[in-house]
Amino acid sequence: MSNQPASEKQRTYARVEYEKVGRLRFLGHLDVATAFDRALRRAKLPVAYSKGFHPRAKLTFVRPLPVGVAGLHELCGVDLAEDIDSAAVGKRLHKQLPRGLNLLSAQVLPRQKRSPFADLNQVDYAIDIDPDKVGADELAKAVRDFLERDSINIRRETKSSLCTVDIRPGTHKLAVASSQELQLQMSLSLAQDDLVKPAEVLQVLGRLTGHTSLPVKLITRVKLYVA
Amino acid sequence: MLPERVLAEVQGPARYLGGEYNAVVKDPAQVRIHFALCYPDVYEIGMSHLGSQILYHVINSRPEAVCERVFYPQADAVELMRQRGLLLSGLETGQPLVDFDIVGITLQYELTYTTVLAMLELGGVAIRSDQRQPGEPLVLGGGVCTCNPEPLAGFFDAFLIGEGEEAVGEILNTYDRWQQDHPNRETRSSSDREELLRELAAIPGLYVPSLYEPEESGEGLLIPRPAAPEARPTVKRRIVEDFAHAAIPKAPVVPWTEIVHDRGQIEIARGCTRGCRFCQAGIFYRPTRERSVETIREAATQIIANTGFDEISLAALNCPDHNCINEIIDGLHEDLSGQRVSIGLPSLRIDNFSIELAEKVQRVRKAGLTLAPEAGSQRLRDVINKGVTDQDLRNATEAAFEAGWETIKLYFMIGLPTETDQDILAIADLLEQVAQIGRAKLGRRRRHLQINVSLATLIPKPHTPFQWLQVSDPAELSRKQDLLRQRLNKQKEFKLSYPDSQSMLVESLLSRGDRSLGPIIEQVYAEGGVLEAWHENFSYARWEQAFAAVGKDLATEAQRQWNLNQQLPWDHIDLGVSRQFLQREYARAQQGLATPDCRVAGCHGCGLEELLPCPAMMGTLQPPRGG
Repeated sequence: MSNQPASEKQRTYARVEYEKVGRLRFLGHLDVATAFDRALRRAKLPVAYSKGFHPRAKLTFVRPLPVGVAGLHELCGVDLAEDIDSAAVGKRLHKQLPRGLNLLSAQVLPRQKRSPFADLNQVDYAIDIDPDKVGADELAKAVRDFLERDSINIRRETKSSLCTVDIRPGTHKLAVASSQELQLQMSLSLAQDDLVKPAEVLQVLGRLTGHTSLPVKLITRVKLYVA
Repeated sequence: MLPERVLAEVQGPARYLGGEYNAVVKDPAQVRIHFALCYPDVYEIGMSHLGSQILYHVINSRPEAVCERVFYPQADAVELMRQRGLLLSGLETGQPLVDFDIVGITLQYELTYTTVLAMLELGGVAIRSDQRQPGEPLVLGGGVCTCNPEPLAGFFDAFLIGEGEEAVGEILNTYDRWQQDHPNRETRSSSDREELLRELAAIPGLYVPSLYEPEESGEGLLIPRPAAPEARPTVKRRIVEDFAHAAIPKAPVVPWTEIVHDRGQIEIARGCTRGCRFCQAGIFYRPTRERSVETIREAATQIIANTGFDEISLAALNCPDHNCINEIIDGLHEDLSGQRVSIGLPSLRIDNFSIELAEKVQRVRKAGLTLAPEAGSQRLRDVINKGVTDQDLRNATEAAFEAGWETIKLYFMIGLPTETDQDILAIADLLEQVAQIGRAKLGRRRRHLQINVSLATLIPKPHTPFQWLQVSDPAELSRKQDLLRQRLNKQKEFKLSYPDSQSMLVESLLSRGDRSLGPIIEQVYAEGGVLEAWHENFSYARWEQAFAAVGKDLATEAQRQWNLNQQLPWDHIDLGVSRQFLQREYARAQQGLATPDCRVAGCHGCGLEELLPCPAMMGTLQPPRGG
C-alpha cells in the first residue's frame, strides 16, 4: 500500500481554510464533511483514515456552520498519512472542491494531540439586515443601548437544561456598518464560560428596536481566531 | 432547483441546490434540444437510479442537446412553490419543465404514476396529451413499466420500449429535424405536432399511443388497435446489442446529500438467463450480456477518480453470474483498496455465493449482504423456477457468517401459485436452519446475529409466465404473514418486514391495467395522491373512491381471472419473448417443473433467438458457476 504511516514525530495535518458561500451555504455540516471526503479522494491526497470496518478520512472541522449561514474563513484539519508540501495540497484540493466550497489556503503543519482548532476563542459575524424593514438609525440606537448595559441576561435552552446567561461580557464588538448595505458586525466569544451566539444578540436587538425579530437577510461568519 | 429565498424555508435544502459536482451545465444558446430527464420520486431515490445516469450521460454527450435532472420535491417545498407560483424546474439551470423541448419520464414502479401527473402539472405542462398545446414539450416515457404502458397512454405523447441509450439518439435526431422545419414554438400547429408523433412512430421501439384506438375485448379489457398507417401492429423492444461497448457514465453527478445508493455504480452485466417465472426484469433485459473485466476495471477507476465515492457497487441482475466475477472483484480490489474504496454487491442468488466470493467482498469493508431464496420449500421454488436448494442457502449463509457478516438479509415472496401453509412454514424451517448456522459460526459473537427477512408479495407482471395469474386475496396474504410471524416470534434474531397488501393490490391493477385506468389515476392524483411508493402517502380509500367514481369496485377488479388465450392490453408490446414460451412456462409452473438456465441446458426457444444472435447461444457466455 502506498500510504505508509509517517513515523510518530513527522505526523502532519493540512490546515485548510475555505469559504462556504452562495447557494452552498444551504449545505448541512455532514454534507460538507462528505464533500470534503470526496474532494480529497479525487485529489488523491495521502489522507489518514480511521481504523475499523468503515474507514473515514480523519477530518476535523471547527464549529459546524448552521444551514443557511455563509462562512468566509472556515477551517478544516485533514490528518495526513504521508509527507506532502503545502503547495501541493493547495493545488490539488483547489481543483477538486466544488464551487461554493472554495479553497483559500492550505498549510501543512505538525499534528498535535489536541484539536488543531482548540485555541480559537473569538468569532466575527456580519449580518445583513433588510433596510426596508428596519431603519439604520433605529438599529444604531438599539446597538448603543446594548453596548451601554453591563449585563444582558437571556434564557438559553440546551439539550438538557434551560438556564439564564449573561451575553454582554462575551460580546466584544457590536456595530452598524456604514456602507450602503445595512449590516451588523459583531465579535463574539467562543469560550466555554462566556459563549455568545449571534442569534442571541439578534434577539436582544430585535427586542430593543421593538420588532419581535430583526429582518435578517444573510448571516455570514467572517472569521474565527485567537483573540 | 429552487431560488435562494425558498431554500431558506424548506427542510433539507441540499436536494434542491443543483450545481453538484459533475452536473452538466451548457450555454442554452449553444444547444438546440433541451431535454428534462424526470424521475417521479424524490431526489434521494431518483439520484440513485443508474438508468437515468446513463441517459443523462448519453444525451449530454451530444453537442446539440442538453439534459437536466428533475425530481419531485417534498411536500413542504411543493406547498411553497404553489404559493409563490414557482414551476418545477431542472436542477442544472432552473428552467421550468414547460420550457423544455422534451420531457422524459422514467417509469420504474407503478406507484409513481400519480407522481408523473404531479410533475407535469407542477412543471406547467398539461397532464393529458390531447390537451397539450402544439408548443408544449413532447412528453416521453421509458423504463421497465413500459412493458404495459396502457394505463398511462393518455398522458404520454410517446413511450420508448426497452433500452434507451441508442434509441434516445434517434429520438433526438428526429426531433432536431422536425424542429428545424418548425423552429418557432409559438406558431406551431397541432398538425405540426402530429407530424412529429408520426415521425417518432417510425423509430423502432417507439410507441405513440394516440395512433392506436382501444377496442373492448370479450373479457371487457381495452385492447389498442392501430388507427393510423404509421402505427405498427406490434412495437418491438429496443435491445443494445453491443452492450460491452455501450456508454458508461464515468463521471456521474455527485449528490450533495445522502441518497439511497450513495456510491458509484458500474453495470457489469445486463440480463439474466435464470428464468425465474415471476421476474419481469428477467424478460425485459434479455439477453444476458457482459462487459469485460478490463472495461469494468477501467470504468470503476475512472468513476472513483471523477467522483471520490468511497464505495463502488457492481450492478447486474445477479452479479455472481458474470463469467469473470472473481477477476472483477480481485481487480477492483487491487485498483481501489489503496484509496479506501469498498466494493458492494446488490442482492444475490444463493447458489453461487461462495466463501471465496464472500471473503473477496468482505476484505475492504463490511457492506450489507442480501440473499434471495424467494420461497421456503423446494417444491415451490421449482414452481417459480428459482433453481436453488436448501443446501445452497445453508452453504451461502455459512460462507457469509464464516467471512464475518453478523447481519444478513433474506428475500422471500408469498402469494405464489400453488402455495400452501406448508410452504410458508418451510420458510420458518429454513430460517431456523440459517439461525443455527449463524449461532454456530459466530460463536461468542452470536448475540450480534441478526437475520432480516423481507417478505414480499408476488405481483403478477405483464410479459412474465405469471401474467395470467389471479392476484392473491389480501386477507389470505395477511393470514400467511401472521402465520410466519407467529412461528418466528420467539426468536429475537429475526426481523420480519412486509409491505402492506393494499398497496400491492393497486400495484397489481396498475401493472396489468388498460386505458380505462387513466381517468382513475388522474382522479387519485386530483384527490392528493402523490409519492405513493412512500407508505405514509398511500391511501387505499382514495383508490377505492376513484374506482367507485367510474362505477367499478377496486377489489373485484383486482381479483380478475385471466385465461391463457385471452387478448391482453399489452399484446402490441413485443419484448421479444413469445407468448408460446410464456404459456409453456406457465404450464410447467403448474406442474412444479423447473426449467434450467439456458446457458447450461441449451436454448429453450424463448423467442429472442429469432431477433438477434443470443450471446448465451453463441458460446460467448459460459454457464454460471455453481448453478
